[in-house]
Amino acid sequence: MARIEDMPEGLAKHMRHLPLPEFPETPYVSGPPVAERRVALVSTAGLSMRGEAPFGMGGADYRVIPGDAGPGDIVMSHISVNYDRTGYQRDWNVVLPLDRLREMAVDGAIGSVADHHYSFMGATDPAEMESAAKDIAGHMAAEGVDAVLLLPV
Amino acid sequence: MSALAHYFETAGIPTTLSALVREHAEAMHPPRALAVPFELGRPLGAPEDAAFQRRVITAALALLERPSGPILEDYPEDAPADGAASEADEGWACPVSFAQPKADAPKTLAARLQAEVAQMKPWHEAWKRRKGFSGIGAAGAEVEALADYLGQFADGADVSPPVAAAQPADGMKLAINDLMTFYQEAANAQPGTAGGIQQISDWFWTETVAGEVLLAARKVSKTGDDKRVAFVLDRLALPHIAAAHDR
Repeated sequence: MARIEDMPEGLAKHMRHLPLPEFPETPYVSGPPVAERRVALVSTAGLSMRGEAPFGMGGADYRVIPGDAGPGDIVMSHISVNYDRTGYQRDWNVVLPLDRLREMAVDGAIGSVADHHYSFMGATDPAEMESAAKDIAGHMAAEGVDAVLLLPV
Repeated sequence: MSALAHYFETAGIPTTLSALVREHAEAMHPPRALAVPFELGRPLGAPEDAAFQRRVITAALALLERPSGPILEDYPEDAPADGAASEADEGWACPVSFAQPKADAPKTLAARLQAEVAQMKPWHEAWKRRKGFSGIGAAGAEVEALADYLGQFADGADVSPPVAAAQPADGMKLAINDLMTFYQEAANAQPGTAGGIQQISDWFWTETVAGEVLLAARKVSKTGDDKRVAFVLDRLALPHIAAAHDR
């Protein structure tokens, strides 16, 4: 479905010409089995807590989603209209699966759910997000996160 | 998303990701990526299907236990068809039948949009009762105020967005964001709703006054002084899939 060749022409052209940062090498950090890991979510859906400043055009900043947040606490202000929002409106877990992670922690499939999760607004040059990502990584390390599930829209 | 994976991993935090655009993951080779065959906007594939979501999460997290990378693996399971797919052949039609304006009816887009918003309101209320909340709120204003602003703008009036935003363009974008959320949620509440991007988008852009207002606002903005507002309406309000609906 999301293969570029299947997209409407305008969107396909946009996706093909999107400037992508280049990475000559891929870092690779090992860790314990998934059942022992503390998992955090990072979304690029432009999610923020209700009442907090929404995302603006070109924003490379991030918002914190507390681990005990519910779907009614969150608003989406991604600037793109070229993706489906109706799935998210029906069930936030299709974008930010906090309910699923909580169930998996109870079942022992993961070690625990992080106390903090994070959202960017994806329609920004990712290179501009590097310093924010480093900042977040520091906070994650401080609370023992050793698995991040990255979820785009 | 793949770039963020590089940044986190470089900082010592292991990552895995659901890659909606396989080509981008191929180009950026993040440490671990699960290429998923899902619609943009649905990184776990299926709303209201906990078992499906969990299988995708489990597959993505399992990549963390591999000894080395980069890993780009295809997730083998398509998302189950929801209403969108099952009714795609016939084309979903919003059961609300919008009355055509009568000869003596108000002709301004602003007035017509307010009338339509009022007609959609009971469905939006039904959605809020079902979910317990609404996703509207980024703009921080009532939908009627947002509709009034957008309608008047499309009618050519010199109006400011009823939104606390740094610039009019940001206010315009947030007003559109919440108005579209209102329509999508209301459509979601209706019986037999498709719930897919194609059907609801087609309906919004071809049948609603709201779609007509945004297309008219786009034209108006092209002759206005604020180029950022024009950019929002030209590039950030009209999805590529709706370009064909320009009317």
